[in-house]
Order: sequence, then structure tokens, then C-alpha cells
Amino acid sequence: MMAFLTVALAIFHSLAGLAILIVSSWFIAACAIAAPGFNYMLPAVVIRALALLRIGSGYAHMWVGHQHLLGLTANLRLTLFARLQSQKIHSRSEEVEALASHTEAVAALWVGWVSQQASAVMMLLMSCIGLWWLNVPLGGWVWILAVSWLIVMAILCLLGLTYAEEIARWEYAFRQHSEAQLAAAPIWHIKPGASLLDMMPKAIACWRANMLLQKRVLQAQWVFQSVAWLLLLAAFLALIHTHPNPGKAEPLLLIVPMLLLSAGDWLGRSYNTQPALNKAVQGNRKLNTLPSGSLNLLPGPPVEGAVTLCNFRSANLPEQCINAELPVNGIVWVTGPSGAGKSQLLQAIAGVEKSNGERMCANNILPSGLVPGWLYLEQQPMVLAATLKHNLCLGKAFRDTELSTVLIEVGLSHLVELGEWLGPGGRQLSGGERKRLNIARAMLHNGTMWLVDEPFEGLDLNAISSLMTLIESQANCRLIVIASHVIPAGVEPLHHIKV
Amino acid sequence: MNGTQTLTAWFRATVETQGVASRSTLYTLVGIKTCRIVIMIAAFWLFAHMMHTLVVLTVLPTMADWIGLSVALLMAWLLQGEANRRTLEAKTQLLNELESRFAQHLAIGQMAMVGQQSSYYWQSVWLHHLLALANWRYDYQVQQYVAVLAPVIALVGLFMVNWLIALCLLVTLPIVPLFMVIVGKGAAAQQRKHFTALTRLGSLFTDRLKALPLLATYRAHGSELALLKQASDDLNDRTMKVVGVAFLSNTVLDFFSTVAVALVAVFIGFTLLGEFAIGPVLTLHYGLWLLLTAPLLFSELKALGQFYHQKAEAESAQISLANWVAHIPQEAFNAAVNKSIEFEETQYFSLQDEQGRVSAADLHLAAKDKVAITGASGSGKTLLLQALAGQYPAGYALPCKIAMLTQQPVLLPATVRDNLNYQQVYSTSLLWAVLAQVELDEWVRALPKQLDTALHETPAISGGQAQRLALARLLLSDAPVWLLDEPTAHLPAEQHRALSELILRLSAHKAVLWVSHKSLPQDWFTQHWQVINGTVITGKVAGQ
Repeated sequence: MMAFLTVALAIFHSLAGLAILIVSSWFIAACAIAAPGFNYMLPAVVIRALALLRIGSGYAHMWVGHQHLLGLTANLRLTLFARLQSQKIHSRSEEVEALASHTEAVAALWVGWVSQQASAVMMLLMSCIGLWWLNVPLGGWVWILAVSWLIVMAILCLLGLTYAEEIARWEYAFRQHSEAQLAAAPIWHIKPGASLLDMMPKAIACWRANMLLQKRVLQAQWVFQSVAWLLLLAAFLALIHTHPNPGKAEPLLLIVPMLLLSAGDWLGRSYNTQPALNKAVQGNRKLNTLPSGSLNLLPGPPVEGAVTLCNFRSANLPEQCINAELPVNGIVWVTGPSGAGKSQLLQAIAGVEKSNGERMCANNILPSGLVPGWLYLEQQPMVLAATLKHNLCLGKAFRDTELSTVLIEVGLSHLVELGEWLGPGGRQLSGGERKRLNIARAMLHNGTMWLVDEPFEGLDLNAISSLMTLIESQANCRLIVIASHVIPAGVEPLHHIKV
Repeated sequence: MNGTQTLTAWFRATVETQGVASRSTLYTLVGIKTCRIVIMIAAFWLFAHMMHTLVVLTVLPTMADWIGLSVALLMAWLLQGEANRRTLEAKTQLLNELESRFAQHLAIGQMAMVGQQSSYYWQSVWLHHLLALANWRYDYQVQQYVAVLAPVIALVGLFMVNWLIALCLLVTLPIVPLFMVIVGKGAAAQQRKHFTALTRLGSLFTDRLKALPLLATYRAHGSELALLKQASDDLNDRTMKVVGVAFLSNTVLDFFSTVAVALVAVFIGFTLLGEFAIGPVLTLHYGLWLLLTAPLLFSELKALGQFYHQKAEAESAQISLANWVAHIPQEAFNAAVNKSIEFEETQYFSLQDEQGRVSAADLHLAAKDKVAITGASGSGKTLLLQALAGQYPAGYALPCKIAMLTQQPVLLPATVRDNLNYQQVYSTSLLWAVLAQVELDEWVRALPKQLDTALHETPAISGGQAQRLALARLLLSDAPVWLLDEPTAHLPAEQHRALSELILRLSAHKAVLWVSHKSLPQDWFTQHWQVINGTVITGKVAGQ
């Protein structure tokens, strides 16, 4: 509904603009002739009314159009988010970030492209019908103009979409190529200067495709301009050579030449909107081909009992093979050099990553997926852009006193304001604070197993020992698996998995 | 307003040097577009004349008029084509120049520059930011000039034909920017009022997308969806309050251009009828011409609005590019990337960077010196090495070629041979000799295609082997100074010892600066530098 209102207002806006031009020129011609009985007040009023209509509909179009754009964007985003329930996205965070602009580009199709095209079509259609109905001399030329606009537009859209694909292809190739080159940056220094410059990533092919698209848009405008003016000149020529002397003054004669002369202005802009169509198409493709994977959420109450791993490994690491019997509570250390797959193993146990082999709990094989109550605590924990309370509760209800107690236990007593906003536009937490917040969250949600990834990385010795004390006390009532490349001094690991 | 100035000033100071993005190209484009406007005004004159003959005098226009109009329109059309062609050409040229400057900065800054940001960031510089600058320069800036010149030209013409209408338009003209400034201030005030909420709510969508696994773990997807919905309604309400005011700016322009045309038409009509008797005498010829020319006062300004997004894009390009498109003199570039492989004289040096992140006084380094560098993580050890390598500007860089070994060895997704031949092509026998030196020859001989085995096809290469391969590359490079940045950091104790001894043996004839957290025998070293909060202190005895 909003979409149609947007388009309708855009059409009003442009029709009113064109009508002002035509009525004004006809009006002064009629005034110049001043035929007897000419009612000059009415057209003067019409012109002023059209001016008001144009201004009003222009503002309304922008307002309603933007309202619609925002609503549609929100809708697209919410649908996407709902679709991604119990899924995760296999893209880099920057590409996830880009989804915001993709949804916007898709939503902007109405305001950016449909409105403009509909306006152009309606202006042409109304001109043709009006000219035919009023039997305006030379009206036939406008039909030719309309047909040529349509042809140029069709060609531009067709070409534009192929170029857009080409741009996307070149961009992909460039990203692949430059990724490899930039990854080699630590050894660039051993290359001699000249050959180093030669192998730098070059985006020239991407730009060439981009410039080609810009060129075609300009060319479309240019060609259309020539068609309009050729029609104007041809109409004059035909008039001079075939028409007998008019004899009678005819103000309507002015209308078609005026339309043809200014066609480039009132129709040429419609070609400019082609990139909006491209962006929408590309954005739509990105949204539909979003690389996401399912996180199977296992139902039911938290499972109880000792966990056993049989020939277990992360699906990403074919070399790994873990056999271990984990206790019901206490601490299990996962150690090994970095890159050996400590995090991968933890993620596989938690079910965040795909795994091979068997996870057994109380001698029942668990299907793959996220087990309720098994919490994976990331190395760099996510802190949601939300209030502190929201970050801790995550959809469950806790009393404020509970939250405060937990915050004090993890050593975040300086965060007293539960309603404080964390993230952009609010408080930025340090790496250590994030880790503590993550543990506070896990304590509140009370899982049966915590899988903690590199909790000591980036902490000083005091922080490590206080964190260790906290983890030890929490391990009395649950199993805590810690992946770390160091074991804090004074800790004697009882259970140890080496990867 | 300020943004434009800083962007323009930045562009002038940084990019517009050494003939890049020359002003003459810009002015030529402005000239062509202005010429077209003048010719269009002439064409309007002929057109109005023909219509006057046809409608008022009821005589057919002459062929001379027709030819005149044809020539004028043809010229305008050709100029438009020429402006298009030159714009694209200028953009392409500017892009090439910007890219080659950027590549030079990368070639000098290397890891010290690349390591600061993700590869996605650098790719955006190429794909978006450089392009945004070129578009801004040759669309937005050109249009800025045209939008100022067009009204002036139109006014001059209008004054010659009808001073009264010209005077009225001249009086209203300054009101347009005045209103736009007032509206702009209003919109900025709204923006400030909602700023915090807009920043917080604006990033919520992608924030939750990144947190999908977390939400799944805590089974909080449903509650977050409800929250997102509420937040996006709130966001949209607030955004509408801001843009609702901002749109007025556009409407002001629309108002003046529309009302001007409408009133000019009514005025001309009534004058022609004899209702008004103010100002010069009018005919349809003059009247129609005035009607066609008056919109030129506003139309180019409106066209500038279409390029407005380019300004915002160029501003963000300015922020991410900073100094990386500044000119580098050829000699400076050559000196930085082509260094000698001789290192004879002992170097005495001090260094200090602008940000105060690393500094050292009275250091010296002789050929075959072995320097142990220690310090807490984040104290600036890597930066010190990058400064000595000339990648990080700190007032001093070693005058000879260096070779670096980092924590994570770089393995190219290519064959063993291509990995070793990264710097230049060596003979097979030399490659085998070097592989023997780093004790990898047996391992390579056991590979299915030996030297020509692609590394990603082999069974996983261990950290120690990868580091040995990187060491082989170092040996091939002939650099007289080795900078080692914790090459054994990720290796187990046994491999650490073996690799360290190998490095020591192979670097007997080199100067070595060795950063290590793991213990190394004290008697390997001739000097010890300690880095504390970015300051290098010499003389501490190693291995305490």
C-alpha cells in the first residue's frame, strides 16, 4: 500500500512539473495572440495550483517514500533474522556488516527505481493521450519519442544487469587474488622493489567494469537526447516543407516542440537510476545465497551424567582423534600448541561446529547439535549491543540482586548500573571485562558443562589467579573444560587432554 | 559545510600534487559544461524565435532558422558527449594514479601498514574508497562550479532581455542558500538530539547476526527477535524525525524553482495581454525565451543534489586513506625498497617515531652482531623491528637489505618450489642445497612430486617444518641482517631448541636481532636490548 502511494506521489510530482512547463508555454502563447474571449484567469490559477501540487507532492513523495523504505528495510531484516533461527552465518564479520546495506538496497528499489520509471512511463503516456485527445498538432512525434525512450531503457537495463554481474565477478576475483597477496605481506620485504610493485593487487579490472556501467548510463542519456532533438528538428522540417501556411494563430502548436526540446530534462534522469536496480538485484542475490549452516538445537532438559568422547574430532580437522572420559564435575584441561585445534575441539563438543566420532552422555550417544546446558565460552566473547542487564539475562528473568551478586563474584563490581548500554554509543568493555561478563552470564544460566576457550589470554598474573579461583569454585557443581596454551602456576591438572 | 572544506583542502594538499588530478582537467570539464549552457541559451533564443514566427506571425519559419537551431543543438549535443568522455577518461586516469601511489605506500609500509587492518579493509580501499574519490572529483566538484556559473550566465542573459524579471530573480536567488542553511541546521539539531539512540539502534541488526551462535547457545533467538522488532520501529521513528526536516532542504529548492517558473509565466502572460505595463515590452519570442532560461538558475543546483551521496562517500574515503595517496618521490621510494646487500660498517643510531610508540637512543649494530631483544608483550618489540626494516617511519632504518622471520611462517598456496622462488627464480640445485641446510631435504624428497608438490595438497605440514621452509627463504635472500620476531613462539620446547640452534648455526655470518619470549642461551648473544613501554634500553645481561 505504502509502495503504491510512494509511486503515485512520484508520478504526481513529475506530472505536475511537466504540466507546469506545458501549460505555462501554452499560456503565454495564448496571451500573445489574445484571441477574443480568452479567459486568462483560469490558466493562471491552474499554473499556480500545479506549482503547489508539485511542491507538496515532492515533499510527500520523499517523506512517504522514506517511511516505506525504512519499514521495508526493517521488515527484510527481521525476516532474515527470523530465518536464521538456530543457524549461523559462515561469513566474515565485515560481510555480515554488509548485509545491512544489502537489505537497504533491496528495499530502496521502490523509491530509487520503480518510482522513477513509473513517473517516466506515466509522463509519456499522459502526454500521448492528452495530445491525442486534444488533437494537438504534431502529436504523433511524441509517440515516436515514447517508443525510443522505451527501447533505450530496455537496452540499458539489459546491459546494466550484465555489467553488474561482471562487476561482481571481477570483485570476487580481486578479493581472492588480493587476499593471497595481502596474506604474504610479512615476506614482501625479501622481494626487490620493482617486482614487489608488479605483484601488488590491482583493482583496474573492477574499475573498468564500473566505468563501463557509468559510461552506458551516460550514453543512454546522450543517445536519448539526440533522438529527442532529431525528432524536434524533423518535426520543424516537416512543418516547413509539407505544411501550407497555417494562416490561423494556433497556440497549441507550441506544445509538442516544447516537449521534444526539454525531453532530455524530464526523461533523461530516469536512466540515472539504473545503478539502484543493479544494487537491489545484487543485494537480493547476496541475501538469498547467504552462506549459513544449521545449528541443531537439541531439545529437552539439560542432560545429566558423565560425558565420554569416542574417536571424536572436529569435522574441520581430520587428523584429530580424541578418546576421553570426562568427569561429572571438576576441571578438564585441553592443551597443545596453537593451531593444533583446541578451540575446534571445544566447539565440536559444544556442537557449535560439526564433528565426527561420538559424544556420549551417560552411555547414550548424543545426536549432533547444541546440547542444552552445555555452554561454549568464546575466546573473544560477544557482548551484545544492549544494556548490561539484557546481556546477562538473554531472554530469561533474573532478579536485580542476583545479577549484582554475580557481577561482584566475577570481579565486575564497578559495573553498578544494570541499565547501562554496552557497545556502540555506550560503554566499551575491555577484553578482560568481556571475559568476566561472559562467565557471569554462564553462572546465571547455570549450565552443566562450560567449555571455556583461552580464558587467560591477555590477562595479567593477578587477574589469572583470581579467575582461576572463581573457575575452581564453579567447577564444584559442573564440568569445566578449559582450552589453554598455558596452565596457570600452582595448578595441578587432574584431567588433561592433549591435542 | 566544514566537511567540504576539509575534504577539499585534504585533496588539494595530499592528492593534487605532482600533476595528479590537475586543476586544468577539472576546469576544462567545467568549461565544456558551461559552454553547453551558453549554447543552450542561444538555442532557446532561436527556438523561441521560430515559435514566435509560427504561432504569432502565422508564418512558417525559414530554413535559415532551422539550420541555426540544428547547429546549436548539434553543438550542445557534441559538447555533452565530449564532457561525458572526458569525465570517464579523467576518472580512469586519476584511479590509476591513486592506485600506483597507494601501491608504493604499501610497498614501503609492508607489514607495518598491512597488519594494522583486516584484508577486507584494504580491499575496500581499492574497490570503494579510491573510486569514491575519483567520482567525487569529476562529478561533484565539477557540478559545484557549474551550479555557481550557470545562474550567473543565465542572469546576464536575462538582464539583457528583461531587466525587471532578472532583477526579481536576482533578489530571490540568495534566499535559496539561506533557507537551505536554516533547514540544514534544523536537521543537524534533530540528528544531535537522536544521535545516541540512532548509533545504538543502527548497528543492532548486524550485531545480532554476528551473535547467532551465542543466541543459539542460550536459546535466546525468539526474545532477541522481539527486541529487534521493537528497536527497528523506534529507529525508524527517530530517523523519520531527522530526515523529515532534512527533506525540507530539497523542498526549498523545489519551491523556488517551481514558483519562479510559474510566476514568470503568469507575469509574462499578463504583460503580453497588456494587463501589466511594468518593465520592457515583451513578445512571445522574448517571453518564451525567458520561460526556458529562468529554470537554469536552479536546475544545476538541483543536479548537484544528485551527486550529494558522492561527497559523503569521499569523506569516508578521506578518513580511511589518510596519507596513503600522498606522493612519494622516486628517489625516496627506490631508497626504501632497493637496499644493498652489503653491511660492513657498524651503525650508530637513535630512533623515535611521531606517535611516541617506539624510541631508542645510542644503539649500535655491527656486522655479525647477535642481539637478543626482550620485553613484555605489547611493549613495542615488533614495532622496533619494523622501524629498523624501514616499514615503520621512526627516523632511522637500517641501510641494507633485511630478512624477517615472524611467528607465523607465510606459506603461499603453491608448490614448494614456488614458495622458495618467491623473491626470484633460483636453480634447482641451489634449492636442494638450501633445503639440506634447513634439514628439510628428506621431507621434501618424500613428497609425491618433491619440489613441485603443492603445499595445500600435502599432509598437514607441521609448525616446525613450515618455519624451516621460511628459514630457507631467508637463506636464499642474501640479506646481511636477520630480524627474528619470535620464530619459535608456537613450537613445543623440543622443536624450539632444535630450530633455535639451527638458526644460530645458519646465521653465523649475519647480524641477527632476535626477539624471543622463550629462553635462549646467554652466550649466543653479543648485545641485549630490552624494550620497556616502547623505549629500548641496552646493556642488560641476557638470560636473567
